[in-house]
Formats: sequence, structure tokens, C-alpha cells
Amino acid sequence: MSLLFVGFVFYMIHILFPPSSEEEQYSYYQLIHTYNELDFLDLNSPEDRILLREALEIYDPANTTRHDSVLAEIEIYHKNRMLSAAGSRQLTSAIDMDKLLTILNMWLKFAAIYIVVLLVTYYCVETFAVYRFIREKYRLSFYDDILNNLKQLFDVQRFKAKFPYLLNILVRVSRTVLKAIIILVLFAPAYVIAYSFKTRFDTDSFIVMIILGVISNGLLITYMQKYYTFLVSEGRKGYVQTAIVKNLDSRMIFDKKKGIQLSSIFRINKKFPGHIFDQIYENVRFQYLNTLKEQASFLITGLIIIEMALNIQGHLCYELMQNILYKNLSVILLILFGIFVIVKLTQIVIDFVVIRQHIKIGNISSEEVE
Amino acid sequence: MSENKKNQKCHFLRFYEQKDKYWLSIWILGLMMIWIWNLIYLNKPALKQLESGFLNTLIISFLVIIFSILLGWSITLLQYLFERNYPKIQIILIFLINIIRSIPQIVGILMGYVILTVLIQQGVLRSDFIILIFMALIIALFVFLEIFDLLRERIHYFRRLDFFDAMRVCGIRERYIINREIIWRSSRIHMVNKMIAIFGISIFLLCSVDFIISVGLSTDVSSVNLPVTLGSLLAKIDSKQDILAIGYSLTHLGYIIRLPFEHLQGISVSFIIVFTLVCMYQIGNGFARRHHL
Repeated sequence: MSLLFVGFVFYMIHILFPPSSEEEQYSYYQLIHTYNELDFLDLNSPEDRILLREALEIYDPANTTRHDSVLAEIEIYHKNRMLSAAGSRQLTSAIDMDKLLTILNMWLKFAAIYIVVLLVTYYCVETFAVYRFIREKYRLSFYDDILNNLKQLFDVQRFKAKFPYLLNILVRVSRTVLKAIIILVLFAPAYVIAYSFKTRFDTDSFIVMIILGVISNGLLITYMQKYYTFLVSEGRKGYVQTAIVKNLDSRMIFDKKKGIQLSSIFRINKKFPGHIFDQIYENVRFQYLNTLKEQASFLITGLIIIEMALNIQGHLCYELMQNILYKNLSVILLILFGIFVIVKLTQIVIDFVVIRQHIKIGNISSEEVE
Repeated sequence: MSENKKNQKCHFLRFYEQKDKYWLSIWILGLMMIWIWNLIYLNKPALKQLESGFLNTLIISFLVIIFSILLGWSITLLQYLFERNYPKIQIILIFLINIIRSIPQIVGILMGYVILTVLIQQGVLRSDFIILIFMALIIALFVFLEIFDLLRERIHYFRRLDFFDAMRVCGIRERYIINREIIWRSSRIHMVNKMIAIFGISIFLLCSVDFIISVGLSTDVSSVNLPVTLGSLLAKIDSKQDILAIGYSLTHLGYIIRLPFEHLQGISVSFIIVFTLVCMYQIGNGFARRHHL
């Protein structure tokens, strides 16, 4: 419904503000043409433009502002011509078949990157949140760990016996510093990371785009925290306590025999048979689906920032920016509609999965859905 | 003496455990340290630009919070009113809100900036402060939904409880229950939590959009027309070269020591952005944990 509505609105804007012809784009078009036809004047050259400006001043001293406007327009006209000849932009803003296919190709590329990044981030968010949830159950906090080790360090008299505690402190501090650096990188906007590494590799490649999409803009850490919060609140629910009382395995420790197997966390299809965490995880996975819409929307913002800020030529959002620059309204609307379609399709797919889950667990029947 | 020491330790431990206050102090201290360092080593004109860029970014982000609260609160009330009295209009309102939701924030803000530039070029907007307000309003239009969703959910939750009907039976006006009891008294902490998140997201969006227009639309939406922010400062060629130096120093480790002296402008700008984002995230998490949200 909203797709139709937005499509209709964009179409109406396109009809109401049709692409302007070259003549309409320049208010002094005829004048520019007349000056261009003068053999002794090369308007590409700045010196000749100054000469023309001085000649106009002598001829008509009362209209200084108008002369400035004509000169400014001549400059823009020649710049546009040059860009057109270099093939970097088409002067006409009308959408022909060629342009449509080019934009479609860019859209498909954008959609492909988006899908890959969405899947990778979803996997990473889930995996890291589960890992953190289990680790936090038995690991001491930084403050307590350092305090314990310092206490032991001062209690022991012999230097040799102090060594393991010193090493523990060193390891814990280095791990925290490393964690801080990783957090800084994960929160850095994509353009900061990309410019930092621009001398090291080609930022235009497909793989780099995906890596930037995953690790930058704080996406991973923000949604990992949300997933983790879901796990914590689910872990506090009554059924978990009941299951623990009924002697279901509840040991939150990485162990093959008496806890959770570490390798099962990294699987795409995570399963923890016979453990209470299996139920917590299943419930949270279902709850997170609504947040996934939010994540997808933020991801699109991130990808647009990457393509625009890094000026990645041949990509959809770079094309959008170029067309904003040259005020090609019809192309802008087409690209915006393409992005809107991606967002809406994601929401539809997620809603579909949510409904299927509801049917699976019996919250609603398939007749109700119909 | 030992009791005193124990008390001191407890104070520190309590402060450390209140992560929001702890990270707020880290943020303020960190910014002060950067400022002092820049005061010593950065040249005066660059420092002045950095200060005004940071200040403008801060002012816009605070304004975004205010506008988001106003927009979110008023549209929640409007939606509630329509839901009770004009259900058909409510459907249209929700439909329009969902459309705003489906527009990627950065695209919406970019389009808003194009309109802003047209207004500046036509001389409609002249004062720097009015431009700042307009910039904040554009960003708020695409982030206020966080507040709207929160308030809507809170009203929905409280309406299911007995106290809502009980208060109505006592003759208390619905307007009073919603505005004072539900939103102000029972959701203030939730709103503060959202405000922290909005502050972070608005800094991120503002810096990104300013960076984009300074890099890609410089001939049309010139950074000269708009007040300087951290994003536009980062897009300057000097800053970009400073950031590029980070990559260079990864393979020439000896160069790292020169970064905080010779590439101070770019490093400072990018660090302030990233550091602020990290601190806001930690403050938000700490606040949520302290208030059990």
C-alpha cells in the first residue's frame, strides 16, 4: 500500500516538475550560444571570459549584476559540457532505457551488498550477544579481577610467587585496552575508517564495502547490546527458574560435557539440546525479529553514508548524490523509490517470518492470518 | 583510618558501578584533555574552528533532542485523540508515520539540507542561529519516532492496568492522566534514556550528512553557507590528510608518535566524534541498567 502511495506521489512530482531541457536550464541560453559562436573568443579560457566581462562592462555599465550572472552561467555551461564529454554525466535529466538499465544494475548491486551485510551482521549480533551472555555469567568484572590479583600480589612475599599475579594483571589490562580499541573502531563512522585505510587498500571493492558495512557506524555493537538485553531479560523469567528447579541443565559455562559447547555458538543454526539456554535463545530469536527491522533501516543509512562519503563511482548512492548536484529530479525520485522498495521489502519479509513463527507456536491460526 | 579508607573505596566502587555517571565523567574529562592538548599544540585559527565546530554540533544535537520530544509528545497525543474519536484519520496518521519510518534517515536529512540551501540562497534564512535551528528540525523530523514509539507503548501499557480506569472513575480527566501520570511521572526516566540515544544518533547523522555534503555536493550545498560542524571540519582536505596519516602509521610505526603533533586537527575531530559516540552508548547503557529499564 505504502509502496503504491509513495510511487504515485513520486510520479506526480515527476509529472508536475518535468525534466528541463537544456534551453530551460540556462536563463541566458541564447546569449551563451551567441557568444560561443564568436570565433575570436574561447569561453573555455578564463582570460577570454574576463575579456568578455570587461567588454560587457564598457558596453553596458549599468547592468553589472546581469553580466556577472551571464559569466557564471557560461562557466557552468562549459563545465557541464566538459563533464558530459568525459561521460561522467548525461546532460539531459530524462530517463531513457539506457539510463533505466544502468540504475537498475546499480540498484541490484546495492541490494546484493545490503542483503549480504544484513545476513552477516545478524549472524555476528546473535553470536557475540550469546557469547557475551554466557561469559558474563562466570567471568569476574574488570574491577574485581584486578582487585583480587592485586590483593594476592601484596599477600605473597616471594617475588617468584608474585609473577603469575603480575602476569594476570598484565593480560587483563592488555585485553581491556584491546577491547577499547575494537570498540572505538566499531563506533567509528565508515568514512573515518575508510580514510584511515585508504592508502592500504582499494575502498571501492565489493568486499571492502561489505566489511565497512559490518564493522562501522556502531551497527554491530548497538544491536549486539540490544540482543544481549533481550537475553538477560528472558533469562530472568519464571519458566527459566522452574526449569532450573526441575533439574534441567542450566550451567552457563563453555564445556562439552557439563555446559554449553563453544562450537555450537558459532554455528549458523544454533542449537543447545538439553540445556535451558536452548529455550531462552529460541524465545529471544523470535523477539528480536521486530528489532531486525530497525537494524535493517539503520544498515541502509550506513550503506548510503559509505557510498556517498567515499564517492564510490558507479554505485547507486553516488549516482543519487550526483543527480542531487545537477538537480535531475526524475533520476533522484527513481533512486529514492528504489531505496524505499528495499526498506519495504525487508519489512514485508520480516513480517512474514514473524507471522510464520506465530503460527508455529500457536499464537494465531493460519485462518486468522488469511 | 581503616574505616575511612573502606568508605572511600566504597564511594569509588559505587561511582564505578553507576556506569552512566562514570562514563559521563570520562567523556567530560576526555574532551577537556583534548582541548588542553589542542590549546598547546594546535594553531589558533584551527583551534577556533574546532571549538566552533564542536559547539555547533553540540547545540544542534541538544536542539534535536528538544524538537524530538516536542514532536514525539504532540504526535502521540494527536494519535491518541484520533484513535479515540476519529479512527479513520488515525489510520492515515499511522500510515504517514510509517512512510517516514521507511525513509532512510540520511536520505531524508540530505533532502532537507537541499531545501535548507535553497532557502539560504534565496535569502530566506540569514542568521546562523536560525540555520542551526532549521538543521536540528530536519534531523528531529527523522529521529522523533523513537520518542513517539516509546510514548505510544507506555500509554498502551498503562491503559491496560487498573489504575487508568480507576482514575477515570474518580473523575480525573484523561488528558491529565496521560500527560501527567503516564508520560511525566511514569515515563520520564524512559524518556531520558531515549534522549541520550537521540543525542548520540543526531551527532552521528549530523556529522555524516555534513561530511557528505562537504565532500560530494560542495558546489551546490556549500559548507560556506552552513555553520561549521565536526562533520564539515572532517571533510576539509587538511583533516582528510591527517586521517590518511593514521593508515600510513600502521606500516611506519615510528610515525605514530608524530600523529598527535603534526596531524592534530583531523585526529582531534575524528577522535571527538568517535569518543562521543562511544561515551553516549555507554552512558545510555549505564543509565538503563541503573534504572532497570
